[in-house]
Amino acid sequence: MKVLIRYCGGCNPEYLREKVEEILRKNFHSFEFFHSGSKTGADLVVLINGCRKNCLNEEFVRSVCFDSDVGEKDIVERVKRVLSRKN
Amino acid sequence: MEMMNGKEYIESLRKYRPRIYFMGKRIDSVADDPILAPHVNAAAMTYELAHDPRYAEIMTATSHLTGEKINRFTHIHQSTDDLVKKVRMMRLLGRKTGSCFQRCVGLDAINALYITTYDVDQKYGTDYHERVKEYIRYVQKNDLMVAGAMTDVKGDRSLRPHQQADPDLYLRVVERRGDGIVVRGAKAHITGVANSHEIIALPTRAMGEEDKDYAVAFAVPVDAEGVTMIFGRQTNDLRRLDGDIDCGNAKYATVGGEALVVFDDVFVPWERVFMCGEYDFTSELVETFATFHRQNYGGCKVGVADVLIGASACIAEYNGVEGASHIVDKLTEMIHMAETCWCCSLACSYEGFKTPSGAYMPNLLLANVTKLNITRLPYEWSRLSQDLAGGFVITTPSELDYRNPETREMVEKYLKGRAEIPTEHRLRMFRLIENLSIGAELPESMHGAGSPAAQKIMIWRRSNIDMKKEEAKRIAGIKRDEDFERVRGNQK
Repeated sequence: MKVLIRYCGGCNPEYLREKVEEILRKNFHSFEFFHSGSKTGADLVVLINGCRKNCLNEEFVRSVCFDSDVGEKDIVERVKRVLSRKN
Repeated sequence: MEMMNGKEYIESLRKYRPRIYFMGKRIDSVADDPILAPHVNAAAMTYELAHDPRYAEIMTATSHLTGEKINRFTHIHQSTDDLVKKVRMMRLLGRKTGSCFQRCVGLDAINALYITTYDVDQKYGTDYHERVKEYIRYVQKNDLMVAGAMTDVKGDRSLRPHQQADPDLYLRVVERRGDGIVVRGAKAHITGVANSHEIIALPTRAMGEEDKDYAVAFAVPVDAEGVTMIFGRQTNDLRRLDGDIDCGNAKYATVGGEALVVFDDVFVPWERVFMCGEYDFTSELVETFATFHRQNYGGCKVGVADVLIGASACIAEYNGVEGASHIVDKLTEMIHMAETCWCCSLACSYEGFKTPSGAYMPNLLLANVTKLNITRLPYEWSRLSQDLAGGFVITTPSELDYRNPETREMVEKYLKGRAEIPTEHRLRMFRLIENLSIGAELPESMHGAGSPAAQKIMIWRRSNIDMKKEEAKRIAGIKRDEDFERVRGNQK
């Protein structure tokens, strides 16, 4: 499973955005995470916004978007929910 | 129905018979009462300018519910562009009236309800959101002016609603019936309510489970049975009965014309009930409404500041000192402060976001910063205006003495400034500055949309102090700076 992680520019984040990536890496050991490259090569795109302005708001076939400080359980569940969705 | 124009709005008030008292007497006709007239006139501008091609771009919108062209004061914001246009409309109207045009509270109430009821329904399976949409369709179709009634009278501020010695000191549900609810209590400082068509009541604070009966939101017509308004006094309010000079802004008065609204066992049918017991959403509703309302203040108050700055520049000319460097400096300071507040309103609007309901709301942190600035900077720009205008701002003879043949020539002769300027112009400008810098305008800037402490709570909550601390530690060399190390290596 290839997972593209995209961050917004981070001008004035309301929470620690990097925590989302840390939690994903901790909970999904078998996934291959990357930050650049073709979006089409990704099985999942994770959009990490620093606030609810959601500067990153593109929609992909499989994408999950974060814009506020949610707990580890919620982050993991949201990713699993998207992955369980049929294309 | 088409959007109303100013005249049609004033005529529409005749269909309602609200129970309003002022100075010990009941007001017979809102449309004709001389004390209410300037407030009615200011609200009428929200209707009139929507028909003017010079302003229609920001005064109107397209309803997402019906596709019809509507007055923007009845619109649910569908984009950040809508949020920006909203504050542009506020500045325009502040400048056009030099006063409060009152209609923003209802606009903010329908938007806050639209967003929050969607979330309530998601959790509880209720149908509040559909009720709100139906109500908004009614407001849009009839182009109604809606007053937002939020602030409870609160009694002992150290006690929660259910702890008060008198349980009616916060508006509450006293009876639930098959066809609706009965509410009792009072709301204070309700802007524009006397000359509105409808009232939306919202909770004033976050509630706990024991305050369940106080977690109530609804709409009623202004003349619903059991609703009584007691119109508040303002500084110099009776001057408007003496002519058109002494009150400074005879056409539009100052601030909104606020009233105490008493709900004495008022029946509300279920279709007009938008929250009833969902205490866990009171915080969201209050926060959302407050964000919308605080967004406004860098628009409307800056529009009013445009008028005060203009009046200050005029009086400097009338006094013959417009070229003095300290006068130019003071005017520049005033402009700088006003435009700073304008920047805040624009910024919180541009940084707005889409909520799960589909409606947009402004950035919460920046909206609160906007309003906190308005609790301060209008005091400073008013001080500068009084400074450069001089003492006649508070000692000018009355219009009656100016009109009296026995004293007129003396006033004409000794109140003269620059020779080519009529004395009356100077009198009028002093009074306008007095109106804008001394009367109810300043306390309204302080407390309207919430007092400074309320904004500071929101600013503290939303400002991510942990991030700032981490950055400080990194810069101070206490924590690793990985970006720096990639460039220069680890220099420790």
